[in-house]
Amino acid sequence: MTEQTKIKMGEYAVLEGDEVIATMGVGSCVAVCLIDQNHDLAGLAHVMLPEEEGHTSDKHADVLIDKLFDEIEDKEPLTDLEAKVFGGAHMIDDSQNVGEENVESVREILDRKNIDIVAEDTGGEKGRAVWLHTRSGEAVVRKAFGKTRSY
Amino acid sequence: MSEIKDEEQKLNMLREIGNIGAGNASKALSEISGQKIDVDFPSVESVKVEEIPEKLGDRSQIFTDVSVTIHIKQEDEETAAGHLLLLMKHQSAKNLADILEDKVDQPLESEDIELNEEEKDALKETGNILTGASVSAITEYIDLKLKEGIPKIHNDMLGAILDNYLLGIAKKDDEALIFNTEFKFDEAEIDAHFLILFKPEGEELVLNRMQM
Repeated sequence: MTEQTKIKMGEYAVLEGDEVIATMGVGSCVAVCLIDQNHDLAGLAHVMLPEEEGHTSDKHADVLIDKLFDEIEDKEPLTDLEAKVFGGAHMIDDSQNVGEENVESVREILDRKNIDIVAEDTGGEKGRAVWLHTRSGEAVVRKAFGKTRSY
Repeated sequence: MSEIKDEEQKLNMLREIGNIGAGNASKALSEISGQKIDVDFPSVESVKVEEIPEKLGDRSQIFTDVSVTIHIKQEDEETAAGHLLLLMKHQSAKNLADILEDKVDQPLESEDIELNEEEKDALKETGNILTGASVSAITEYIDLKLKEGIPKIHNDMLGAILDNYLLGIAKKDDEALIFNTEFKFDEAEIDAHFLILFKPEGEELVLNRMQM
């Protein structure tokens, strides 16, 4: 089995070839996969918070997705990318739904970059684990106590 | 906050609050379960929000938590001061639910089975009692009016559970103050973390009060 590169919240990784990037326990956070199918190149970011004016830390969606995008562009300029988006659960009975805000923010940022979202599993009340296979671009998602699905 | 110059003094004050809360919570849990409980390794530290899940375990492992949000009441204002959590691995939660429901001789179920509604209710009720005991004791100690929210239970991956508490803190601060102690049952395979996560605004109110 290919060794996994695990990323934590607020982190990202970009890998080439036959690799697996994994992130675990994604609740209200969002796992954003950017895939370049033509070059066996893909990256995964574990976004914590929505874009917010004046905030420049990696915790925010725009900053982290920019970094992920730039690193892929450095390796393959002007490449065609597609996105897969997972997470944004709303688990707590709270008026503030950070999960939904995160998903909305990620959609807006990807739209600005003209990157299509080709697969998405967001919302709900359960956390997710995500494994991204960089060669095939396949994302495997498992929910707590749920089935494993490929996207 | 500027009045408190010594970081160590600040942590000591919060550790004292944590100890009082944990001591009363463990006493309540011991009474409900009829089991002797040891309280181990109390610590209070400021941790980068992103690093908190890994401090408590494997992000992907299934855990259960029962939590309440604590509000501080001052005149007409209410401030969410932080969260109080009883957090345990899935099997510990199953074992505790069995003790609470008096089903100790039942064979162990698979880790893949979610807690059922009865188990969740039993744990939620227990969480309610022990957080209540804890909050009353802290209220008396710091002489601030504290109010607890409705108890909530989650049965999910550790990372996903903690997102609920950490993202709200991450919006305002890079670090969170966390009080952590372990409850170990003497005669059952149950380990639980008793946690207090202080929100920045709650920490400030509490510390200001303690200096008066």
